[in-house]
Formats: sequence, C-alpha cells, structure tokens
Amino acid sequence: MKKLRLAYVRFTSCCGCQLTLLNCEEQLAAIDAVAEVVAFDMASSRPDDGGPLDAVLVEGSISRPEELVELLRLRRRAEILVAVGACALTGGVNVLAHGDRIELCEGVYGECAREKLTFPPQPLCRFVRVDLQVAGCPPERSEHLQLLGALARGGLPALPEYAVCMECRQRENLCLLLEAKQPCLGPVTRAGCNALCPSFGAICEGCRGPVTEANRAEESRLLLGLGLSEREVRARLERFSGASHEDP
Amino acid sequence: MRSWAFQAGFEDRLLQSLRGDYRVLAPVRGTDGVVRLQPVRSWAELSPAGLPLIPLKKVVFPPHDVLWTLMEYEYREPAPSSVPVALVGIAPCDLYALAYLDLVFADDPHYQRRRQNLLLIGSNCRPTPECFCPPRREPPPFDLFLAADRLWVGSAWGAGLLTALQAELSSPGDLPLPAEITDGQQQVPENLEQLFTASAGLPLWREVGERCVSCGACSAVCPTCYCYEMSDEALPDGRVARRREWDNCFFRNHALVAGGQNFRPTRAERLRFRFEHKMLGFGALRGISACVGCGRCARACPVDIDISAVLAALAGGNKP
Ligand code: SF4
Ligand code: SF4
Ligand code: SF4
Ligand code: SF4
Ligand code: SF4
Repeated sequence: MKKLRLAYVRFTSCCGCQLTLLNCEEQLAAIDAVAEVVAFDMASSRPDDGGPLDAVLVEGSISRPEELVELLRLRRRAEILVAVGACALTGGVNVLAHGDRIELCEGVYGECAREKLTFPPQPLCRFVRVDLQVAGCPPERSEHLQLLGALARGGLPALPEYAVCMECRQRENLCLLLEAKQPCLGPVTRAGCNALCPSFGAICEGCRGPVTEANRAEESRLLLGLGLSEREVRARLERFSGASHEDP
Repeated sequence: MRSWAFQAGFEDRLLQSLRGDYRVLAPVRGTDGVVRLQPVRSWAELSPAGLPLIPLKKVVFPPHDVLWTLMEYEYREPAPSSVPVALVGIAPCDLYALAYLDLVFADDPHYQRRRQNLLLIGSNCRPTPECFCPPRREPPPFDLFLAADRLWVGSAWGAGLLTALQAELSSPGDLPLPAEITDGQQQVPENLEQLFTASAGLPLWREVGERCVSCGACSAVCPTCYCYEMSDEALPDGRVARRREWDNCFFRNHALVAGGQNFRPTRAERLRFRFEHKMLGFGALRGISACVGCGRCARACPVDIDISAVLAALAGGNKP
C-alpha cells in the first residue's frame, strides 16, 4: 500500500483537535506506518515540502487574509480536505466575541493589534469545498482514528449525522430536557460523542454543532418553555454553531 | 391453557433456580426513575409498573452490533455467548412486540442466534394512561407467564423449568390467561388503510412534522422499530469491523440513495411514513400492526407527539 501523504494544519484555534490525535498513543506507530506526515505543527517541526497531498486535516476557523490564502493553497494541493472540529465547521467558540474588532484585538494583543488585519472568524466551508466534517470540540479520539483508517484505504469514514438524543436514549439516560426540565441541546446537536455530557447528568451544550436539519424553531420553543429568556436561548443555540445559521 | 397456582415466595425461588444457568434480566427502576432491563437477584427489585425505557429488542438486536472483524486476512465473527438470557417480568405488549420482530428477523442469523438463547417469563402489566394496545386473538409468546398467584406454561422449555419446583405448585388446572392480556386497552380504527391513503394531503402531517425535532427518541424506544444501518470501521493498524447500528426513519439520511435522491425529504413525509409503517406494515407483513400500543414513543417525545392522538385525529377526532 502506498503511504498516504498527509498534513494536519491549523488556523484560528486552540490546538485541541490536533492534540486529540496526538493523545491516541497506542495507534501512533500504526499511523506512522500508513501515512507520511508532511505537516503537523503540534507533532513535528519538519518543514512542509509544499508538494501534493492525499489529504489535509484542517483545524480552526479563518480570521485573517493570510489564513485564507493558505487555505486556498491547501485546497489546490490536497485530494481530500477534512474540516476537523467546531472552529473549522462553524467558527466554534471563536465566533463568540462580539463588539468592535480593533478594541477586542487590542485588549488581547496590545498596540501591535492594529497592524494585523483580521475579520470575524469564518468556517472553512465559506471558502472551499469540504469533503468531510468531523464535528466536536474537540472531536473524539475514535473519530480521528476512523478518519485516518478510512483515508489509508482510500475512503472516508461513516460518521453519524443524527442528533445526540439517539445516543442518549440508547444509553438509557434520564432525559434532562423532558424529565429534568433543563435546557439540553441534544435534539439539535450532531451525535458522535455517545451523549457524553447527558450520560453524566450534564446537559448537552451543543459542542458538536448543529445536526443536519436542526429544528431550531422547535428547540427554541422548548427552551423558552423552560423559562429561558429569548437572549439566553439565542446565546445557547449560537455558542457552537455560529450566529448566522438560518432555520431550515 | 394449563396453569398452576403457586405459593408465596415462589417467584424468588424461580429466580434462584435460574441464576446458575442464565443471565437474568428484568425491568428495574433506577434511582433516577428510569426503568431499565438489568440483572436482578430478587423479585422485589422488579418494577411492577413501568416498561423498560429501551425494550427487549436491545437483547436480540443490540444498538451497536459488530458482525465481523478483519485483521490482515483473518476474518472473525464474534463468539456467540453460550449463556442463555432469561427475561423476567416482561409485559404482554413487549412479548407481542418480540413476536413481530421474530417475523421480521426470521432469516437473520445474528438475531436468531440470540433469540434461541432467550427464555421469556412474562408477567401481568399495569396499564398506564398512554397504553393503547389493541385486542388480540392469540396469547403472546412466552415460556412462563405469571399473574397474581398463577402460572401458565407456554413451551416445553418453560415446563422443564418447573420440575424442580413442583412441590410449590398446585395440581394443574385449565384456566385461560387473564383476560386483560388479550383484551387490550383500545380499539384501532378499522379502516386505517383508507384513512392513511386519504390523509396524504391533510395539513395534519405538516403541522405535526413542524413540531418534530427528528431526535429519533420515539423509534429508539419502540419495541418494534428495527431499522438499521451498516457501516465499516477501519483503523490505522489494519483492523476493520463491520457494524450494524440502529437507524431511524426520522433521520434525513435514512431514505437517501445514491445520486442524492431522497424518497422522503421532508419531516412530514417521514412522520407519515413511520406511522403508516407502524400501523400497516409493509410487504408480506402488510396488515399486521407493528404498533403494540405500549405508549413509549409518546412518553419519550420531547414535543409531545403521540401516535394514538394522531390516529384518533385521522379517524375524525380532534387535532393531536
Ligand atoms: S474545535 Fe474546540 S478543540 Fe478544536 S480547535 Fe476549536 S476550540 Fe479547540
Ligand atoms: S437528555 Fe438531552 S440529549 Fe438526552 S434525550 Fe434528553 S434532550 Fe436528548
Ligand atoms: S453531549 Fe453535547 S456538549 Fe457534550 S460532548 Fe456531546 S455534543 Fe458536546
Ligand atoms: S406505542 Fe409507539 S413505541 Fe409503542 S409500539 Fe407503538 S409506535 Fe412503538
Ligand atoms: S420523539 Fe418526537 S420529536 Fe423525536 S423524532 Fe419522534 S416524533 Fe419527532
């Protein structure tokens, strides 16, 4: 089998997704055997040779012109482009900052912020074709491994596209929304975490982003019915899904 | 039907006699209030009211089932468990539901392997306001059935279990099963098929479909929902596993086919499809109702969609 030429690249993000892959210690040797890692900031200082790629995994959202240029370059270089993690899929928590950008940036980076051109963080799909989305903040280790295993065989993994509730019910949890009257986002959030939070009695905060055809109107009604204000409902629904999603 | 009266404490001794040879599962209410099928030691642990959230299908048709694995060129099927499972305290509707799954999976080796290892001990239920099981002509399948202080035997396997416990039983009598088991709670409208066909254009489906969040809970908890999806999982070290996982007709992908065509693109269509499939079945099973009226779907639905209310609306009742 020919070795897969692979890059794991990050833009505006926290590196959490990349680290999740590095945390798969017991499979790292196996990954090395099937893939030539051309670029992977968190794992290697080897310079990128700039050649064609079989696949690129992209973490993070796009918030600077340089990032956009690099993203377009990667799209041209790579056969398959995979968006990994909430930031890459929807902008993730990066989108939460509201207010004057210059002020916000100066608050963090001081004077030099004025020289840096930035724009509100955008998901990758705004600019390029994305062949697969791996949801999560960060995605599960198992999803990283399924992704690399499938890529090594020339395919893409089948990741769930339904809501967290399905996994939650299969685990026979008490429904926090229905029975505990808590603002759980399970019905509108993409599954794949095996309903991690509700299984420990904590509501789903929606970190895996909206499920296909999320019924946000009805979820809003449910949350309003629990006594949340309209502002709270919007804030909850937007936390991991960007502010610009429209109801289907 | 042959039946025996038994003495106080018999249930526990029955459980005890099973414990050595079987994995004994029964509906038990957890501290969080959720009833689950789980291992039990004494009859007092059983939850007399309340069906398990996830019905017995999880035992014969688990939510995530590895059908085979492949390592390099070595193909393996998971070794079947040799320990038989005894399901105890199963309500009649869940037994009827299993009879339906038996038809659906008649030729499925994975289901049959587990089914043949399954001992069924039914017991009388306490109907809740959501129950709407239809009247039945036949008794449900069981090996033993317990109601109050009487016991019915439904198979040679069940009869065999009693030999060690003969001392605690009266001499056999010929009493029918308690009427509540087959009488049902509610009649199903007779002309359902016409009602469904005539309802295609009604706003009812769109209205209910707008409420549905496609969470899949109704189908996950339904004792006769059996749709599944197959997927192959490959890992970097060369291991491959083929899995069968519960799928759901409320999910957009369920009716998606090659080329991006979708047989039921809208929620309203999917909702109507599920209800039609539950009530009328399809193929060779057409006419056999899959819905046993357990009421689980209505209890699990976050937006109060209730199949019995929708049926009533079809038959000319109020809006659901
Ligand atoms: S998706 Fe979450 S873990 Fe991944 S980079 Fe963004 S913030 Fe970090
Ligand atoms: S607790 Fe949340 S995720 Fe679980 S079933 Fe209820 S709404 Fe869905
Ligand atoms: S339950 Fe919700 S918040 Fe928790 S990990 Fe899953 S998607 Fe994220
Ligand atoms: S009442 Fe609902 S959950 Fe029960 S069998 Fe009918 S459709 Fe399934
Ligand atoms: S439980 Fe209710 S909301 Fe969820 S899929 Fe079923 S009908 Fe729709």
